[in-house]
Parts: sequence; C-alpha cells; structure tokens
Amino acid sequence: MATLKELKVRQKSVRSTRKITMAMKMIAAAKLKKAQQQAEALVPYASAVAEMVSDVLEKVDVYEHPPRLLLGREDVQTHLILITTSDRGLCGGFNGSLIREAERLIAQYKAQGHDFRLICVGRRGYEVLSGRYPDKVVLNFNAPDKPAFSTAQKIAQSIIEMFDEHIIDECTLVYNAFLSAMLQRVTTHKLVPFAPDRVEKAEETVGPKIPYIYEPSEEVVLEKLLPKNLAIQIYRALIENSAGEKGARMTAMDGATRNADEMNKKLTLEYNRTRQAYITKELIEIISGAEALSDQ
Amino acid sequence: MKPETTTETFTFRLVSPLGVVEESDVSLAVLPGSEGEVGILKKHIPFISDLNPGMIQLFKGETLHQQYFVAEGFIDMTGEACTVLAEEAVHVNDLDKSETEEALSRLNAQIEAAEDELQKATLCNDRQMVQAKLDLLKRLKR
Repeated sequence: MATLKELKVRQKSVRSTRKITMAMKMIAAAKLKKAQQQAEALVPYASAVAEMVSDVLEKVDVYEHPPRLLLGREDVQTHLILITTSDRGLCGGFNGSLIREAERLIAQYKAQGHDFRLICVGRRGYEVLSGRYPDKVVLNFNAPDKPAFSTAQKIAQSIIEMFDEHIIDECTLVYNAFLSAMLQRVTTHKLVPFAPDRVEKAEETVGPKIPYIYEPSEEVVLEKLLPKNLAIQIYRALIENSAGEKGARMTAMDGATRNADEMNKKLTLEYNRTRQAYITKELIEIISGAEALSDQ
Repeated sequence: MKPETTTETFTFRLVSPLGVVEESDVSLAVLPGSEGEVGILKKHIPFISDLNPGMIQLFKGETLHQQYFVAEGFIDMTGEACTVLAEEAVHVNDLDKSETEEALSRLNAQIEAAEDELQKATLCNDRQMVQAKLDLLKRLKR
C-alpha cells in the first residue's frame, strides 16, 4: 500500500494536470467559436465558386480545347496528396486519422503502380510523413490558428506549376471536414481534375446544352476561375481543418478533464482510507499499550 | 444606365468570402464586367464574365433597390439565376471616404517597404481595389 505522502503527491499532480487540461479546453472553446464562424461564412462563397466551375464542366463537351486542370489527364502517373493536419497535438485522434487516410491512399497508388508526392500543411503530418517518405514531401507549411488566404494561394500556385510541368497528374486533398464542434470527418476531395461532389445540385437542368458566353474569352475566364477555385477550395479545407482541430482539442481536453476528476476522486478515497487505517492502527497501538500497562 | 421597364424578376445572389451579402429577386442588375457594364435581365443567355472593381446596381421594377461596391470576382448567369462572386462586397452606404483614403496611404507605405516580389504584387492589387473604391466615391460625390 502506498504511503500517505505518496498519495498526496499523486493527488497533487493529477490536480495540476486537470488545471492544464481544463484551461486548454477553455482556450480551444474560445478559439473554436471564431474559427467556426469563419468556416461557416466561407461556405456559401466556396460552394458558389465550385458550383460555377461545375456549371462550366456540365457544358464541357462542347469545348474544342477543354482545360486540363478541369478535366485532368488521361494518363495518370503521379498523384499529389495535399494533407492538412495541425501544428500541435493533444487533440485526440484528429491527426492520426488524417495520416491513416493518407497512408491508405499511398498504398492504393502503390498497388496501381503509380508514383506519389506529398504537400503537408501542419507540423504533425509533416513530422510523420517526412519520416516515412523523406523524398516524397515536396512542400510543407505550418498550420496557424488563423489560416491565411495567401498560404492557400501559394499552395494552389505550386500545384498548378507542378501540374503544368507534368510532375503531377492528379491532386487529392485530405482534410477534416468540420461537421460540428464534436464531429469532424476525414474527407478526401479531388482537386485536379475538378470533382463537383461537394456541391448539391438543386435540380437537373434539362434541355439542350447552351454554351456559356464568356467575356472577355473562355481562356481568360477559365484561366482566372480555375486557379481561384483551387485556392478557395484549399482555403476552405485549411479553415475547416483549423476549426476541426479546435473542436477535437476541446473534446479531447474535456475527456481528459473528466478523467482527471475521476482519478482525483479515486485517489481522495484511497487517501482517506489509508489515513483512517493509520489512525485505527495507532489507536489500537495506544489502547493495547494502555491495557498492557493497566494489567500490571 | 436607365432600367428597362420590366416586372419579370430573377434571383440575384452576391456572395463574398465573408458570407452571402445579398440574395433577392430583382428585375435588373447592372454589373461592372471586365468588358464594360453589363445589364442583366431575366432569361439572359448563360453568361460568365470577370468582374471589375466597381459598382453593382440592383433594380426592382424602376426603383433602385441596392447599390454595392465589389472588388474582383466573377459573374455567373445561368439563365435562371445570377450569382456574383466578389472578393469583397460593401454596401455603398457603408463606404467611408476618410477611411478609404487612410487605407490607400497605408498601402502605399507598405508597398514602399515591401521587399518580397509576390508580397508587392498582392499589395499593388489591394491598392487597385482601394483606388476603385475612391473612384466610386468620387462618382457618387461623397
């Protein structure tokens, strides 16, 4: 049985851990609120851009020179995985599930005999993946509390450059979609070629495909629209991921705080029992000592 | 631009990264396209265009409904509905001259100090937007 002092020390350490997890939970909750607002505000814009691109895609078979960034290449050799994680840990299975998903994709590409490259956002993902595939990580970025649009633009730009130089033929985004404060879902989303699956189509338009009128010209508009869409979709992922990270941390820290409470309760009980046992023991000693004396 | 007399309305949406700014049924939307101003009525042919920084005017019947300043973006007219994606969208009444002028001088100073080429380019772009805002304010004589 542990001594009273040992128990006291353990109790103290559990209590101070609880203070930390409690504080982390509160900070995460405060940050979550902001991040969530930002994520929710961006949704209409991001879906509107995606919708516009899918409108273009719908009428695509009337084009003479369909843009490759929209339709992809037929002969796919190298895939690019853009994975967004967080910079810091202590957020439950948030990063682990993302990395597992990336690993699953990598295994799939390997089975197909294809090559792959990685762009990591967030230190957690970078540390793990660069350890396993040191020569495959082409770029890495930090994941700050407030993702900047310029980061998304930089990523989009380098994806387009690599695509144009035939270093990559396809690009897949792996991130945590923000469903609610408690719930994030690991999501893979094709960025190149464009996949309209995130857009819920209101109704199918019937009738002949009327080609769009482009102003100033199709090339100019698509040349602006496609990179824009790419950057926006990446930005959306960064923001949702950052909100998700806070949500996951809040949940994880809430669980940790509760565990600490439980532990503290158990330790208090054990401490009291031990203390009582000592008192009883001492009393017995005193009484038996007194009895022994009175007998004489 | 004088509005045509029409009572037929279509759905107009103005969306910026900060959320949906305006969603309403209008009969005429006058937009700053990259090739000049475009007036959009119901049943306009499917149409996609760049958006130049400038003013959006929305009409209901013959009355002016709303006026917005928009920065760069796109116009997407599908025939049924018109969506304008703008990087920035501000109601004209919310524009403030002294604030805008301040932003312009601040940007100018930042451009002077910028060393990174990419950063400079983005700052110059921002300056264009602010300049467009000022031009609009001058046009409205405020």
